[in-house]
Amino acid sequence: MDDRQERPRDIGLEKQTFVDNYIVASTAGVSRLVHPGQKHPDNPLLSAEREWETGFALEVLTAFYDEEIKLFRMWYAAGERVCYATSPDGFRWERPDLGLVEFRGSKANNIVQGLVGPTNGIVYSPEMVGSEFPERYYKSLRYEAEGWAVYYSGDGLTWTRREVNPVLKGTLVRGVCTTAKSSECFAKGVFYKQLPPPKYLAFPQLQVRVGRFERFCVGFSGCPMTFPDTFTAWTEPSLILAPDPLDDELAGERLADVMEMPLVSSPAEYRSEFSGLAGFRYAGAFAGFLWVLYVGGDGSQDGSAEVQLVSSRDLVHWQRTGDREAIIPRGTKGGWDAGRVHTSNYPFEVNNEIWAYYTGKRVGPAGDAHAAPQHTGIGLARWRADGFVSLEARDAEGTMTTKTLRFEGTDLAINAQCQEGTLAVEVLDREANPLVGFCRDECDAFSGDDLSHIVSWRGKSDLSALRGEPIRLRFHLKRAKLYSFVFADRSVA
Amino acid sequence: MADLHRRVLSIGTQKQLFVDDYVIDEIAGVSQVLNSATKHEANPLLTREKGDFGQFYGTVLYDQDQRLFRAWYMGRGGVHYATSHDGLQWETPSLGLAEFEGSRENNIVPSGPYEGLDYCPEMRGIEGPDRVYKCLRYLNWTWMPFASPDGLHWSEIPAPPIVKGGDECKTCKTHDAASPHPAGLPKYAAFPKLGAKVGKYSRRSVGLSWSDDYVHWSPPVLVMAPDDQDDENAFLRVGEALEAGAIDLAWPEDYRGEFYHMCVFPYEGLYLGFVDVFYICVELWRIGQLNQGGPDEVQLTSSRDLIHWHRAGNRMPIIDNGGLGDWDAGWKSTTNRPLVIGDEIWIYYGANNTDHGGLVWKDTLRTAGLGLAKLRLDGFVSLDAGEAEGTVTTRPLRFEGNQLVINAQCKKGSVAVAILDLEGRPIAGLDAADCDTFSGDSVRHTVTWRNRSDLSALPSQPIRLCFHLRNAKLYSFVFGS
Repeated sequence: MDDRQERPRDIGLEKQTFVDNYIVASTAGVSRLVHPGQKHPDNPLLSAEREWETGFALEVLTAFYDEEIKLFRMWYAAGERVCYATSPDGFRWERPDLGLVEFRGSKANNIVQGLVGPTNGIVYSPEMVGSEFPERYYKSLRYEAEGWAVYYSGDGLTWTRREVNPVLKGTLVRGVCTTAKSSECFAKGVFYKQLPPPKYLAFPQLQVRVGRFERFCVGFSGCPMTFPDTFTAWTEPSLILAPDPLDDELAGERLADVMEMPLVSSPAEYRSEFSGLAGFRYAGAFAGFLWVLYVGGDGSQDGSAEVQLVSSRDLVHWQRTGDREAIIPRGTKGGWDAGRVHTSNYPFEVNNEIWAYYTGKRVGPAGDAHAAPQHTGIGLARWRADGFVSLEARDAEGTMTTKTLRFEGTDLAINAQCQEGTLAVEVLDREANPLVGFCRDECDAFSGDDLSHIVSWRGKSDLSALRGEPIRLRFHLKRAKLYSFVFADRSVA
Repeated sequence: MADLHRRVLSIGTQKQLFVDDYVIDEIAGVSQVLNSATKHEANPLLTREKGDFGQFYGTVLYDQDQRLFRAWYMGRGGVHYATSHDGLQWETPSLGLAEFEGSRENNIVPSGPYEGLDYCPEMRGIEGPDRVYKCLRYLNWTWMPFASPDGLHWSEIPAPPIVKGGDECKTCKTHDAASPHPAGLPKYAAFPKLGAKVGKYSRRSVGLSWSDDYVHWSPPVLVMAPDDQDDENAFLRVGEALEAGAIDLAWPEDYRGEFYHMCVFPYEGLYLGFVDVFYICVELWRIGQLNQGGPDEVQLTSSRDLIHWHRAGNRMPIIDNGGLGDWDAGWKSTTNRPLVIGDEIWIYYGANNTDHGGLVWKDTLRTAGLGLAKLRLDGFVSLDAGEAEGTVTTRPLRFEGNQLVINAQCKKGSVAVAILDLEGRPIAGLDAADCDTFSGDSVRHTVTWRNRSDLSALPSQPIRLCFHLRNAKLYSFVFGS
């Protein structure tokens, strides 16, 4: 049926990655690799060390790089307290004295006012700076007894609870709900039917009977940009991700190295649960860090947790990437993050890399007896740009052919790594016949490592003659990794 | 890197179908093909009285005790009842249970099961003789449970207001005698129509609600929503329906796919669904009416846990859509589960020669009837190879029993089976070359190697099966004694 009805994908100037097969028609000798994040050698970069943090596991809520003030900024939870830290480089973190909340007779601490845990990540909208609602530049959702409550802040440090709450009733069983700012640049996005997706995304935890167990699953709720931007028009959550029989099969393996923990002892109870999702915009699609919990105890939530990658085109249908490998794996045995890891509410781009801060725990169980604060911390995982997934060929040459597409722009840029190999591209018509001038033999094969290499054929890169035409691309890879491609408009630059 | 398909699957003596690729590891030169059901030549088997154009929703079941086919379906004045000795020739008995247009001489079942019923004779001892037949009925914007001892006399089960959701809700038993399922699911599941926002539209989608007693139901969750592929298919199906004369109003801007309802039933260790895909081709407000117009199509889905659904057979229709002038070229809906009769699967379906919009706003030129379409046993999806030999290798399997039985059709071709060890090496004496090649057509052919079928000497470690197919269709395999 695919061939009969394939209409060209209009990708315009939108970058294409390989988290799914949206743009991939076929491959031969090429495999999809999911790249785990590179953990910073100094991890954990933050651990409980102040009096007001003592006794609590630190959990990162939100972290990003603020272009305006040239600082990395982080909100994290220490028990009920929400704290704030800054860093010039993202590695060395400082706890500024905010002077807002009194702790043991002193306000010399970094405790944020008005926002208490358990809470979710925060959303910062710098594009709102200068608007008529300066007290709402920062927003957060918190699950309270009667439903979702909205919190606003002008500076991220002093928060006010919205007067009328809840904005959405029920359905959440616990306070974990990540909200992620979906980026502003939707105009060119290949979103469903060209409709802009909701501006704000929330992924509440739903409790659903799956097989023999009531389990944590992930729901989705969207909130459009409203005028004024109240952060209140949330849709009823829909179930989007639930563990399946293969996840349960994986649980046995993933629990193997934590088996010695006394509470993880009952194979009949081995199962998988999804305790959260940090979903975000990723090159024209959506990706998410799925917090996968492998549970092994008798009716308890004890086990291990890792972060896996998922993706979606419409926010309703989500798919698991690759073979469900961890994109942020647990650390090696005995390490500070050997037991459980989960992420902040969204990663961010800086220095041509993707950064994600994550919470790590040494041991699996959620039980207090095991979660001594010195066994937890906040670390950093990094990827090259577009680096979650690549298509790779080893010694034998492999090919990937795209679906029929239409582009804008003048040049084709690839993000690829092949210092010891080659990567060549040919342009085909929709029936997959090579186009004269853009054949494989005519392509100047690329060797090297470049985030944005402009592909050329006999020294010429100009593709504007094919703009708007239905074409396919075929990539020839040998000892090469291809992370993304994008059509660029050099006439604008 | 994890290789999911290297994990060993314990299948015992459970038959394995190829509706999804749960049991398949590698496939070469073979395709997974949806087999659309063969319509009975005498269709429609049951037509309506003049002027009665309601939907043929409902249930057809075979009552072993009475040796009778029994049908419940929507009609004028309520749910109608019909019986048949052979499933082909139907009678509408005068039940005398309901007064309609001044007479009790009719086949109306008061408070009957218009979405279909669940027949639960095995629960007689547990739930009582009054709840052998059960259904959900839509009352006051919610679904309420009803029960009956005989399928004809129904009463409401006192219950808190239950499954919310739209005006469609199929139900199913998660267990039955033929498919005792080990997953430990609640006994009943309901699939209410929910709205899911996909792209521009809030769309009819499939929800799921659980119950262990048919009285208390969990809050429904979304389990299947239309995607962009369904929207692409809308263009094809609408074009086809225009050609068949089943629609006469289409507005390409409105084209999209939605899920009207899904009929779910257990089959050989998994769950199958007939999802009614509604291809909307026009918003009827464009002609001053409510609702939407468009044709539909019945497609096959499958699930292991009723939460994750697989669109089987590349979303091709399981019941052919019908062409120009056909009585069933328009709206179609299957009864809530098919029947296994002998070595066949009987799918009763209701149909019209007009589309959803036509049902809403047209009063003329309509036929409505109950038809029958058949598949061979396990015949939903097959692994097909042509002239060139193709192979299918399973995941590592642990089985019980000492024989391998296949369901295959290869009158002009052949099927041979090799048994491999975990590393993929043929086990001595059980390679494809040792296998006595099967040519023919059988729903249960016992595989032999050099005239021996006994596998009891096989060591207890897991094995893989590798099927070699040429001009063949392979429907299922099972280990037995």
